Amino acid sequence: MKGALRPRLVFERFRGLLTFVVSLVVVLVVWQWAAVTERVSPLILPKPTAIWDELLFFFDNFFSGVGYWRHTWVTVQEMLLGFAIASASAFVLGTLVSEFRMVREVVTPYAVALNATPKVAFVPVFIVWLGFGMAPKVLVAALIAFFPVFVNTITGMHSIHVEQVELLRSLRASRWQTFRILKLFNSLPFVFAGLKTAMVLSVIGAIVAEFGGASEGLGYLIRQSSSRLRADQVFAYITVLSVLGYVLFDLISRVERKVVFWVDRTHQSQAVTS
Amino acid sequence: MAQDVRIEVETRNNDVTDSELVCLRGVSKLYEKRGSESIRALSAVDLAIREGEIVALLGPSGCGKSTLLKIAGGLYEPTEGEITIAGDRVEGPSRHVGMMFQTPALLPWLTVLENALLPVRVRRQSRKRAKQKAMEYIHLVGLGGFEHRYPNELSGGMQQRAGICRMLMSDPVVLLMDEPFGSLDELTREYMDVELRSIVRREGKTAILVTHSVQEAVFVADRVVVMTSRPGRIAGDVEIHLEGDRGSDLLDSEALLLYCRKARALLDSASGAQS
Repeated sequence: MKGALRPRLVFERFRGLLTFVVSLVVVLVVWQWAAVTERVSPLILPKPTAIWDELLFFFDNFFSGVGYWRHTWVTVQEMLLGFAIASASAFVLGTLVSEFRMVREVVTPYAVALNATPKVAFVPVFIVWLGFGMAPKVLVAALIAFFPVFVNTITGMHSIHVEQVELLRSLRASRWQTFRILKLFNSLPFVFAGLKTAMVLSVIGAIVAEFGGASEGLGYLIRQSSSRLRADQVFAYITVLSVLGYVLFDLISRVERKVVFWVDRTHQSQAVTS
Repeated sequence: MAQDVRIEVETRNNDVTDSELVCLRGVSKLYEKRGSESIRALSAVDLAIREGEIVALLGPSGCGKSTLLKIAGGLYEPTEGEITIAGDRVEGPSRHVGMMFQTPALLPWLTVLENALLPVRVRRQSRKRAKQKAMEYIHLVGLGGFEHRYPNELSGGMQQRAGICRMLMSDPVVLLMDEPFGSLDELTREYMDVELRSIVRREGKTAILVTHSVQEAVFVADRVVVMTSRPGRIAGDVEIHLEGDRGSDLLDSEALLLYCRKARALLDSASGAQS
């Protein structure tokens, strides 16, 4: 009986993966067909095989030849620095805002105004201020990545169970103890939800800032290829960026599962994703 | 209901003398609401509890029994009246008090043992020395072997057992419990009631248990104080005289049922007078 059930169980287990692979193949075949028969101009939509060739070229020349590692590394640095600055400052400021009324009253109007502003509009200004180097890109990445962490930190600090607060009050815990024992840990699941969003947003920030003026980086490469009408190269770089974004997102998810181990995964969506 | 049961309201003297451990004198609570009339949650409540006595506050939901308990615990401030515990006036959470809430209120990132040690940690006492005591309590409530588990690995009943440990670890004189087993299924609740009573007795503590279950009140308490709703007032007491230890065999006994009827009749007449 058990032996007879096995193949079915194996199928059930890999069902999701199988569905994905089949759909991917279908999409790629249709895409390739549309491009080869030139129903869509290759300037607009390159052949998947051409993108694949460009990807191979990219990795062949990663350390030697063109040396794509330099561009990749510049963009990664911009993203990670922006992300780190945004996360740290947003967590600290979010904590201060939720703990001190005075800070809240001062910060809130600016935060609301800045949140409503399209951050990439600052790119030209930052380049004037900080030059063509990495600094303006880091700043834009940080600015975009700031808000999800900020908002989620505040939400996390406030969404404490009434009876947990009353418990600590009944134990005569000081305000600092209540923060350290209860609020800090309680905010962590929310903070991680914010961090995951921030990670993806910092990639956007770095790339858009590179579009505004850069001499290296993946965003710079995309702009170069785009002006030479090499859509196949553009798509290859975008693929690299999307894999990069996924890897970093996955990394945070892994850290999250280790750190906030007590959170029921099915309830994790309750955190705010701004 | 059973008309043949005569209601004898044994209004035990709630006038306050110094021999009482917990005294509430003329406690009222008003909730001010902007733009509408203020709501009177409690009206001139007098209650005196002897040392070692287990009292159940019984009443319909919304009668202010939880409010009264939290006022006694110093979590809420009364609008009028005063509370003393062991001679000390209550002005904020008292060190004499250990509390349990409607939810276990365990911190999910701490193990059972760490949760039990929370009062010690907040008081900055030596955790090493307290650990042995915590383990004793953990075994006492039947959580032996689960001390390193996290709350979300435990059932609702087990979580409240851990809550009992934590309450005892604050080394209180008075236990204040706000419907601690209200969210458990009936069988588990009965089981927990049996253990709660024996633990409180064993530890020689004074206790107030808030509940809306007549059976729970009568089974656990030495005296059931019945409250009316809106505003919350004390309607009367039922003293429970049951000999010996109270085991689960008592739960469906004739004696217990008689007291349940008595309490129920008092409850009905009280709420009848209201509406």
